[in-house]
Amino acid sequence: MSDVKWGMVVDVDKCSGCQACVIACMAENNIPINLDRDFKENRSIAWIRIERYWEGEYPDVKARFLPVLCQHCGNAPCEPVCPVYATFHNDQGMNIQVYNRCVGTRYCANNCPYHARYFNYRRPTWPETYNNYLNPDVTVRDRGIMEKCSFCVQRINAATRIAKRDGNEDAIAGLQTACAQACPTDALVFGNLNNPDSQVSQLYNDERSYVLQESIGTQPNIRYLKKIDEHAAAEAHAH
Amino acid sequence: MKRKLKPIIAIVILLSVAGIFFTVVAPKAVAFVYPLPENEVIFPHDFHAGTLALECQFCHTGAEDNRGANVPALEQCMFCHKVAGLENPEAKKIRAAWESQEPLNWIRQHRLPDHTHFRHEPHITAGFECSTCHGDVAGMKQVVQVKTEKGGALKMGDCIACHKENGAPTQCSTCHN
Repeated sequence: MSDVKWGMVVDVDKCSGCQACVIACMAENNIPINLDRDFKENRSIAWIRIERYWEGEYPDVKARFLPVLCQHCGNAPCEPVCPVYATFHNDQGMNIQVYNRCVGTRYCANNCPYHARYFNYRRPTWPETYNNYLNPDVTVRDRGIMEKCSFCVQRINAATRIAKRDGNEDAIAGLQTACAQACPTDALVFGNLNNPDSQVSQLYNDERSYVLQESIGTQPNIRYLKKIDEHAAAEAHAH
Repeated sequence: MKRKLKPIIAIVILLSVAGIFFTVVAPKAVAFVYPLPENEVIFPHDFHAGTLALECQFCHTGAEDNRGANVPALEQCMFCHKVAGLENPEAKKIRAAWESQEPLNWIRQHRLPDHTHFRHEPHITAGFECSTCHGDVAGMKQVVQVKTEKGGALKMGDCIACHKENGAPTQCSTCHN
């Protein structure tokens, strides 16, 4: 399994900003319900979020959407600042957060250029009936713990286990994160970057692909595919 | 001279009493057994797993392909106890519970913290005996957590030591996520 490198490609052109990935992630990973005050205090938690940008002047306005999640950087700024090694890089290219090691210094979140890390300022609570909907494979993070996108590590572990038990790689080949599974336009594609035949590795090397804040040199495992601008193409034709 | 001896004798007596207390009385008082709740049925593991030599998985059906080995449901008890042990006072309690459809209050002796995701299935599939972690249950009347070589209950260090020995993954996210 060490020859696996998990990665994701986000096609910005396909993203319609529907937020299905956000909901799917919250359901999969036991993320507490964000209340009014959480947003007002800027303490809401969403491992994947849709950033919205307005472009152009009225009436010719366009909305641009950018899903942002933990970029699982190859050279992660969050890792060296943790005093207790609660976040580290594993051999599959993932940035792992270890909740039971975390002491809540919040250095990692402060050092993350993508604002992809979230701190539990409160003990998470759900309406009582919701407790039966929590995912038993994911730890409920208590107050004082840093959390972030895990690339659905519980699904990766389960697929690895099943593949080992059954002796074939089918379970790993069909593996998807919750957000990629929920995306109605397939804007999010998850998979093994080391497999040249996988959809994700082909898109990864697409000519449209770029990296968020490349100048920082974080070497993320997530790449984005540029928006195809019809007007720009038309203008280029005219010249 | 006598005045100086008196406090020394007092200290010696005090220390010996304390010594006896901490070596003989205290270990029994803090032994790793939870108090039995009311209406609890005394389930003799030594009889079922020892004398009858039932397979662990005959009752703990989840161990082979599930996360937890699970405490068996009353149905599983009734599989035998409809006809077996009719005179046994403890088995009578089980039948009474079955007839009144009141669940029995079993107490778990092995409980993991929420941030640890242990699964029985891969361990059983890999061919480990239950007794590797749970000790000689066939010889226990009341199941208790076995003490490890270090003298305590099972801890993460024991998991890691075994994982290293058998080439199983040891990175944090294997169990903690």
